[in-house]
Amino acid sequence: MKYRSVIYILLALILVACTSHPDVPTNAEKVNSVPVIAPDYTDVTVPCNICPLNFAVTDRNVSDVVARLTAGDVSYTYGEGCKVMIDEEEWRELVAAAVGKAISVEVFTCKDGKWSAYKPFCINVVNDTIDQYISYRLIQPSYVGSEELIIAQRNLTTFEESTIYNNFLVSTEKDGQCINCHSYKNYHTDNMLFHMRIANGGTMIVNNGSLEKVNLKIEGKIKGGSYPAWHPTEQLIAFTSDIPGQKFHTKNLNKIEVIGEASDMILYDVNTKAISIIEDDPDELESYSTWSPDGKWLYYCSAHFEHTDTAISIEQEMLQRYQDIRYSIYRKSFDVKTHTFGPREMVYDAAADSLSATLPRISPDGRYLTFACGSYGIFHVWHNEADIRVLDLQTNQFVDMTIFNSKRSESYPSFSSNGRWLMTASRRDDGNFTRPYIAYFDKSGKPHKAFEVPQRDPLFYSLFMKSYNRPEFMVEPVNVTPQEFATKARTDCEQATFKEK
Amino acid sequence: MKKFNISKTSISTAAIVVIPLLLFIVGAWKVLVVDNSEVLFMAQSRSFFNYGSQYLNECREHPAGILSWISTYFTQFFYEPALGAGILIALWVLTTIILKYAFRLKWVWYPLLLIPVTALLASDACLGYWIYYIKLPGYLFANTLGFLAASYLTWKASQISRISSRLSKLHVQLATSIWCIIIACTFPWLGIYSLLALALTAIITAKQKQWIPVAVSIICIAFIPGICYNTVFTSANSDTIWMSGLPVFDDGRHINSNLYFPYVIAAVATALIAMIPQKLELSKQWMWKLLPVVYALMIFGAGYQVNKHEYWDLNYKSELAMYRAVDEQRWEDALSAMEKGYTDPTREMVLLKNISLANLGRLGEDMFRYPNTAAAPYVFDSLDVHLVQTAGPLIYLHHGRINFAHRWCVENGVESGFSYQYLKIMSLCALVNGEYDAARKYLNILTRTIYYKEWAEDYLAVCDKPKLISQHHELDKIRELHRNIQHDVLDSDDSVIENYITHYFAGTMNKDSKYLQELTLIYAMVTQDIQAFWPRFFAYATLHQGEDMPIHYQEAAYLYGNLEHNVDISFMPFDEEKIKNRYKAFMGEAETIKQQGASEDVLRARLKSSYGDTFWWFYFFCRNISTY
Repeated sequence: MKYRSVIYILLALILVACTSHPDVPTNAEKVNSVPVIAPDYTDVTVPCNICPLNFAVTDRNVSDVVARLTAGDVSYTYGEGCKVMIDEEEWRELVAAAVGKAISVEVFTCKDGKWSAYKPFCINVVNDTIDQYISYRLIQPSYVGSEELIIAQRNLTTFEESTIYNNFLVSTEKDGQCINCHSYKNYHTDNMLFHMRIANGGTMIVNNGSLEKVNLKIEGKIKGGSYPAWHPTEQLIAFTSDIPGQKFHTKNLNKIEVIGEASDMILYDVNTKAISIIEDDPDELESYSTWSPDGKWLYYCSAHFEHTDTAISIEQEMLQRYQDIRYSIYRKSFDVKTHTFGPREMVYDAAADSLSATLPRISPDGRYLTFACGSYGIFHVWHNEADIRVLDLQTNQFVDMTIFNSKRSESYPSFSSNGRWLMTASRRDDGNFTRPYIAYFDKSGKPHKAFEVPQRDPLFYSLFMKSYNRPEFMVEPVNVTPQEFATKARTDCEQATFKEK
Repeated sequence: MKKFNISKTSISTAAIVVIPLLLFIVGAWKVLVVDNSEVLFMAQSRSFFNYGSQYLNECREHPAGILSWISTYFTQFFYEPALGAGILIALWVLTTIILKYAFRLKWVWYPLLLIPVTALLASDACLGYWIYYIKLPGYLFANTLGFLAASYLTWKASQISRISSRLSKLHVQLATSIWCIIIACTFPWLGIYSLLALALTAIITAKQKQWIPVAVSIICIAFIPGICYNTVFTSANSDTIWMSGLPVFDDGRHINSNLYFPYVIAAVATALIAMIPQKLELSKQWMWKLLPVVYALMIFGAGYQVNKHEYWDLNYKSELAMYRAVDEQRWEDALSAMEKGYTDPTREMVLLKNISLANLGRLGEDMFRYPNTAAAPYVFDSLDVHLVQTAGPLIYLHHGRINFAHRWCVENGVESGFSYQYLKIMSLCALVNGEYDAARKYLNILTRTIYYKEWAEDYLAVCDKPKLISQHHELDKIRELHRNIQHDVLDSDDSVIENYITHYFAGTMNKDSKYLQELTLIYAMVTQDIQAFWPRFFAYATLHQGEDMPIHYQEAAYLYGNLEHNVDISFMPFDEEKIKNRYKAFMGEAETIKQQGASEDVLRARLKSSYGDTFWWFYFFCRNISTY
């Protein structure tokens, strides 16, 4: 009986400890700056349905931290060592009280027994919600080799993350499999795809909820497909078809250069399994297509590159002139009924500005074009100078994105389904590992400071050795289980057919 | 029949138990600590354990991940090989004692239980170069801890199956069956060792004719991996999930099934011992007298087998010692370790030797006093050993090729995990590159470890105040090389590090850094490219005016001058005795041997004894050195 009482008391103590709110130190010395925290959530703007923004004070000498979050009449304090871990229910209370306003955050730190009180900062809360899910590929920031690759989905309203597909389900070692380029039709998951390469290779397509595995490679005609873009209303997917190659910088901190030799664009009809060529100009390197929300335009980037030095191979020449390869943004009209494209039109001549624009995306209202922009090349995830730019297609003016970008690589921008949130794969944390950052993009087309997708443990990113590749918004989770994908992966591919122009 | 009473024998049970056990402990200590301490250290440095929930969560996502997590925890103690080995041996002894009680064996049979743990010892001692390629985290402890867990679960099953209070036989069987289901539920944590516990439980309950738990165990063995595949894991292959917790000895072309042999021995021996009837005794005196002989033979046989399968290659062990010495910048120790290898070293040894000599400033005097020939790493199967995967990042780091050192840490880390070793080098690369946030990340991870915490904290200060890097003199030469690498180009080493480094430095001209310039000269000599040699030789002479010209550079200049006569060497002050007279003697002796009709190999061997320490011998007899 005695033992039982002790156990109950211990359990009660644990429960109290779990939900305890520390006292705010009364004798803290004021510091005239905001604290340095990770992730940096100072003065960010967040959706009203986001999960708690847990953070930590990064000063290694700080032993304890207390944070007081206040919104209207609601106020809570938190602090566990150097971390601020916010209870999910209480966070929802705070957010509800702060919609259209801000949560004020006061941070107190203890160093060598002395408390400091920093200038409060705000977490602005807007009434615009964010898509409930994002998906990404988790990959070590690798060069050539790969091992475990996971396409995962994350619920942004909670901390829940689950696997869409893991390449270890079907193969490892010498039969290892590469997976990449997940893509969805109009933010929904009953039509989606991703590629499997090497072992059990093929393109895995969910066609109105049913699984298909297709071989897009057609000997002598089509080199295969990559970088997909699913048409917003039709069962059509535009792909890049190229032969990518990698080389390594001997000194430059950008470290890797990816060059897409002989890059063309193709269109795959999911219903007929037929592939046709969209663009295959031998002097143009077309890539990264995306559809306008109405499906009437196909945007893409292309670099003009002529093989002039016949004494060396085109690959060698591309390597020598890699800094001359600059992509501009083009578009082609598309007739949904006839599946025919019009001539290409220049949208943004980045090459003329000595820039290279890749990874275009159009906002759901069709007004804004966003893309990654660096000084050369296509793979801006490895270009420290690369930033996200937004072009207002109505005024043809660039939006000032200074607050959104960082001194390090920004790439793979995408809009949420309501157009109010702009996500990027950013290397701002450490220059080597890509993390998903999201910023509010308000109705007037103004970006706000981006916030890192929150994790339950605020130090998670600082210890995690994988990159978040190709972050995409989704309005719903993928319902096909990883095991179902794996079972399909073990089957033979259906062969796509070639359709002449 | 007269029952034999142990207490009346001249040989006590204690002796029967203690002597084999002591022999096992001493033998295991010898194998682990005396023969393989560098292997244990390397296994530790290629492993990773981190305090905090994040690493645990990452492990839990994989089948048998908890086993890996605990194994990597213990593996870190191999930083002090004797400590790690002591823990490992203690776990083996504990396993045997638990198994003794699980099987309810009489002590007289206890020595038999040393067979499975000896097999585990063999599985750890026979790896050789597989140490670089095994992807099971905490490999050296994983099998032991898995066996220990299986033993414990079996022991508990044994206890439950013998509850003899008021429970009916049926209830006892049901209770044991529930325990079997609990054992099955440990499959996500323990993998195949959970299945082993079920198999052993089936055997001990079958001995008691408790057929319900036998059936439950068999059903669990058949179905639990499939259930886990479909409901628990999203990172497991349905074909191999039942093998979770075992390493995969896949060299990219073949699976080396021989390396599973110790596992099979351990499992089969344990299963057979489990079948020994509880009341089996030695009923006749001759049996009792025979037993020590049987055990002696068993110990001798086990010792012989472990010895036979232990990986003995001296170059391998020398490489490991050299790697550690270079990593810790104990240059003289690295050179001493090289001398413990075979006459023909591996290329890794040669490169590590060159790094050591370069750091000691003795390349020009001593490079050819040490062997520069090439022996392929000894492998007992079709494993393809590549320098980039063994010592590549360290070699690149000490050649100032920071991006490439980082690249191979990442490439290798992707394949087999980001170990302490890689995180250390990645930290240094980031610091030298000025990527302080990246360095902070790697160092922060290392601060959550036992043995690398201090090292990491020391460098973390540099992240906060970059100027402090100048106080880290161990990085001076690396930084000097990195600073003086002039142009960035897009390049690739095609995974052959030695060729890349040799041709890079032999093709580089530099007059700003004495250290880099000397490397360009020495690699020009390695390529045996006379045209590349002369400008680098003159640049060396210009940079080192007033200093004595090192003997190997004199040898090269004198040889090339005499071979081609394109450069006037008559004004050069060659050492009369060591160069002019010795060269004359070398050429004369070579001519004499040739006239005797000796083959190239004979000529090479005969001249080696007298001139193997010269550049001349290297030039004439070390051509087309193959690397890997």
